[in-house]
Amino acid sequence: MGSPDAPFPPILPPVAGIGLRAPHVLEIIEHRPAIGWLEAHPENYMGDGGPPHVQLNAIRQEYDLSFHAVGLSLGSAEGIDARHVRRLRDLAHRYEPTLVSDHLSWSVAGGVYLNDLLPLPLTEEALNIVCANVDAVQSALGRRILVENPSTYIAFQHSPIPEPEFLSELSQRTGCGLLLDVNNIYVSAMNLGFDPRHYLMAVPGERVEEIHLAGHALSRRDGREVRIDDHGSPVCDAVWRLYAEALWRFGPRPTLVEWDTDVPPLATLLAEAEMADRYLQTCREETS
Amino acid sequence: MMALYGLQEQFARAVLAASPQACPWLTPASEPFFDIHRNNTRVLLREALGGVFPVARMLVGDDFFAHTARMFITQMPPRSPVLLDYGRDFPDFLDALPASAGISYLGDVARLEWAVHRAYHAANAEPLEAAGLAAALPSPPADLVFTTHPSLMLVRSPFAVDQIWRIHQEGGPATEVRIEDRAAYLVVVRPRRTVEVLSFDAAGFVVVEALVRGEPLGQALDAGLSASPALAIERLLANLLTAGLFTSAAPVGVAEQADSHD
Repeated sequence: MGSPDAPFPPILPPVAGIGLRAPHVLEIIEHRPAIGWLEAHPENYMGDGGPPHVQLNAIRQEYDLSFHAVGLSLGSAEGIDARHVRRLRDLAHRYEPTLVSDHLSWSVAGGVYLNDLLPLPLTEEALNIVCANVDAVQSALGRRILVENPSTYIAFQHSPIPEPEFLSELSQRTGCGLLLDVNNIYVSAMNLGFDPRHYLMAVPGERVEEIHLAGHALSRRDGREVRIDDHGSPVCDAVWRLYAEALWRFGPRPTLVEWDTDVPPLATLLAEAEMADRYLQTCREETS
Repeated sequence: MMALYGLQEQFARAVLAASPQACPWLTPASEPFFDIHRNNTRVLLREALGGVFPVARMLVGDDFFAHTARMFITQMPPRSPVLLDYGRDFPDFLDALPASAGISYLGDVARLEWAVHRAYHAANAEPLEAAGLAAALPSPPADLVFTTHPSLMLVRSPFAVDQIWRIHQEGGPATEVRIEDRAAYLVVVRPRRTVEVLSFDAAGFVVVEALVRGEPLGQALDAGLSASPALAIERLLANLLTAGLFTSAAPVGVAEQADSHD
């Protein structure tokens, strides 16, 4: 038994939240809609001051907050940008988010930032690099982070480790948690031709501390279908079904609905979150 | 098998390249989809630039802006994952473009937009109020040195870029702009929540520049008077002190060195 002086780290309740997007910020501050929690991209709040911080402060007073970073580049062979991690640490001290996460991907090479979540060949070398980077981030932040499975469009010639196994090993070696993006599993599965349910079965459920949902687009390249993770539409039926299966396997988890392209009215996003809450409620009833 | 460092270097080069490159480390079946990453990077960075430079974009149109942004992104990609920092070099890049010669003031409009963007995100600081000034006043006012607000940036142009900028703001005045009628001497500052774009005349601007450099008030006013003996000192001082350009004032020697800003 732990000492009474050492409380459990705060965790998010297993309810639905939404991604905080600029067009909704003032409406959320003014009307305080019932939302389980909110997730912000910390890079958008790395200015020194001004209205964005006033707004995030107001939101933090009303809601649980998670930081979903896009700039750590956990898969970069050149290592982690120490200056960027310091900026994230300072921001986390200021807003005390319940969770901090980023992706199993990279976006920095030769000091250039590419503003996309680029895929890694899943090799032993890459595993060592990502582990070292996650260790460096966690020790600089003084806290654990979650790492999210990316959407994948391309396959490397040499990528011998299956992604769920890679994430599982990463989590065991570094102590990081996993953020499971169910839409990303589905998008990657359709693009690369694997069974998304097999992926779910291979994920260590006890390591999954958050789930993401979003919409994607169907496009064509070279006469072939490809699904693009553009976060620009409602969550599709197949992804809702996969989400239900994930909950059935792992139990209820805090679930976030993301929408980034053609951001709809807040009410549309809240309706998606309500749908996720209904799945979570069903899951709780079945497991209780 | 290529080591990850080398692979990422090549991958990044292929993402930024103007035309599709061979990606031998991908399976042949997935090679056509590499384009998705080239497209993501281009579109997202273009939109980031478009968010900072909306008036420049309106002036040249979406197609020209997309074309220009693509060249800029290829030649000067971001060096930080914080995209709030991206675009500082874009105004100079526009100046150097032969194709922007059609709009000679384009770079200056972009410089004003960059200043507005930086002021919006700059550190907060309480602007100097009359009370703070009175406290600094036992010494002769000519000896006063001012600390500039951290959001303050100066922009000057041979063209009336402030008018161009204003009519392109939501709810801005619907007047005809004669861009070559006058020069613009602008102070961009966010004393509290709202970014202000303040226009000065040439001599008034000389005074502001001198104060921002940390010169004492008397010396700054002398510089203004040499630029224009008709300088209306009282009106200028009233403007300067109510506009929130400064955060503190102290007699020369007591004042800390004014911070410099980008």
